[in-house]
Amino acid sequence: MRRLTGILGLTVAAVAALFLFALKQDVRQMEDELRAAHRDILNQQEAIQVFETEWSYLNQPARIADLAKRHLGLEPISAARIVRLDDLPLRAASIKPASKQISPSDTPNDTRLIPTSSDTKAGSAQ
Amino acid sequence: MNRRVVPPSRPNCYPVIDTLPPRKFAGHGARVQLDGSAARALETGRTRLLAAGLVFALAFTVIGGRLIDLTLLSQNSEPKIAGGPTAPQRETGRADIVDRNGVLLATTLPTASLWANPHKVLDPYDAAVQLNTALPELSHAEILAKLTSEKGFVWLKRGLTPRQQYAINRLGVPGLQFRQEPRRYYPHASLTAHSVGFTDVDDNGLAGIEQSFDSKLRGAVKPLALSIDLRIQHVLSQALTDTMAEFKAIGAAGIVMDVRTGEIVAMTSLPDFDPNRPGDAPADARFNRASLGVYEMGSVFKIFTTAMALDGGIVTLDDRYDTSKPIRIGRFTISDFKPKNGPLSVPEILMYSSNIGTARIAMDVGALMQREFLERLGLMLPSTVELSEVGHPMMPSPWREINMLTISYGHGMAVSPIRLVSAVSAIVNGGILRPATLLRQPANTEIPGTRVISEQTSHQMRQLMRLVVTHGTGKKANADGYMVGGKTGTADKLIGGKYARDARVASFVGAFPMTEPRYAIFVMVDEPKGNASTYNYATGGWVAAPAVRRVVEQIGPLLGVAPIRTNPEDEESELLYVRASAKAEKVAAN
Repeated sequence: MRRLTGILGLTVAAVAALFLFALKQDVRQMEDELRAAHRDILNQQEAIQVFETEWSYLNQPARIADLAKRHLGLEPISAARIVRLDDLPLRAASIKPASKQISPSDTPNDTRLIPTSSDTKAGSAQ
Repeated sequence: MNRRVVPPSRPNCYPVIDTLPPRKFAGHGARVQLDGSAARALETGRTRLLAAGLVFALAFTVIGGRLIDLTLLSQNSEPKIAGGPTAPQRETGRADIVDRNGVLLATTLPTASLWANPHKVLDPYDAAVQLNTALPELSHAEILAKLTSEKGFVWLKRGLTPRQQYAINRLGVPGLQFRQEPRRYYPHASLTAHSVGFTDVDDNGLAGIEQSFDSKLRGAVKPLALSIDLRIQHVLSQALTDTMAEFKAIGAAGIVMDVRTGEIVAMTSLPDFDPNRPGDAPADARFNRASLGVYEMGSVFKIFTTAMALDGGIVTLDDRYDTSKPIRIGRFTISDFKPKNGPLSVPEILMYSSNIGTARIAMDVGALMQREFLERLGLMLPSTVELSEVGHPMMPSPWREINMLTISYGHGMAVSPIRLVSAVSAIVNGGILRPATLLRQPANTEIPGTRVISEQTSHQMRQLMRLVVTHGTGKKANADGYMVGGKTGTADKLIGGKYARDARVASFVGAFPMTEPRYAIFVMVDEPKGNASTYNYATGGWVAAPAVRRVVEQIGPLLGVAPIRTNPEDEESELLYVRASAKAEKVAAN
């Protein structure tokens, strides 16, 4: 009985030692991988930083303004082109739904987008 | 322990005989009967041994169990996510600087630097010839001198571009080595040169924010956000560059400031320089005219004279002053650039920029109050902006009567543009002076400030400044829809102790929109020369005001300032109360 216990104990110890060794090897390998990954992350971060710097450089306002002018024909917006929604006049029709028919005066060559107050008066008179 | 009191542990034990000699064990396995105290001592020992053994056995079992668990059954009991090591942070030793929208203004990149060990260079002459082909900016003699020195380490060139590094590698010259070094890089080059500043080759901040925040930038990882908006900066810089070219000026400066927070949204000083190569720039280009330069601002100071008189209750908008005759004091004569006949009202004095009228207002105000007011506006001290390049104002000492008169229209006292803009911001924003700052302030926070004039005076000043732009000397600053208000200024420069007639500083300071000012703007042009398009005038109204209009028209939409479409007649009539001053009570009611 005592001998059996001893042998069993030794076997368990040996097996445990073996697995411990294997585990340690695993850990070491994973640590190597982690170190490599960290190195990689740093390299990537450095590359990202270089790209971000280049992006900022390519976005110099003077360069963008020049590109926009040459290729897009864009120009700074003037205050006259900015209109609030509230400032848009209502259509005459929405004031008086009954007169929502196309009046003879609305000829196709009338290119005004927004009816003026005189239009409104003309529309409601009909 | 008293043995005699302790009862026997076993029922069959014999009476205690203390003198009984201890017996020896007869042999292995033999059961020995012990009597009396010896038996009890043994018993105690055995019990203790058992307890200790149990503890050890338990410990070993736990360790063994854990060992088996870790080695054989480890899969499930291990945590899925490691808590210990986290991803590394890239450390450059110096934090980035970004604008208020996060656009990169300054960063640190790894670059290769070339050094040599002269002892290991086999043929210095040949090596120098070869290196000269890769680095043409270094002369052959220079390289040769370094390669033949007695030292074991010489820098050949620091901060190589990748292309240069490749070229040198291709040469295959022995004895040359690269060292990776971080190097500061400014992608926007000269655009923000004066506010961001620059560092030396060892990353020590030498100017601008780089210098004033040197220690903070060193430790930090998070980028430092400035209050500068790069787009606004570009618009301002472009307008000033164009103006400088148009009027053949020697320099220009401009500032756009948020009047509610004191944040400097754009700050330009021309000529500027490339902070990537600060050594190549002349001292004049590195000089920050916007914060370090102090100038006699001329007529823009009339804003302060008018404000102090109104705020102190010395004058009302109705009051009139005779401006028909020049003022003579000692050997000085104060006259007007464009004399107007008859008495002018206070609004008209500002509108037509009358020196005589303003001087007369100052006489009523008095030197003491004038000085106290300018001090309250912060014009007597260098700016507290986060730059080491701040100019100390120059003012007369003692403050004589003649000084009082000339200072009322901006001569005899020199201040930095940044101080001027802060003071004007306070005049128009409801009367609160806030320190100028180059750092982005958290949104929607109330920046503490000190009250310098009343809300009422600020309102009147806004109307007066608007009047200057609609009807007075600043008409060319009127950007459609943005309700610009301000004041022009033209100051003759002091050259060798005398005012030069042909060298002057033309400026405009204002704010927009005048109904509820959001931004203050200042433009100054140094020594402009008039040309045919301006009928040879080189005054603030002809030179600086158009630049302001161009800037405001472009930055208005960028800053999210809604254009105001007013009925011109409505505005006209409102301003006319101010102008004619016949209905002062209506102004007060507004």
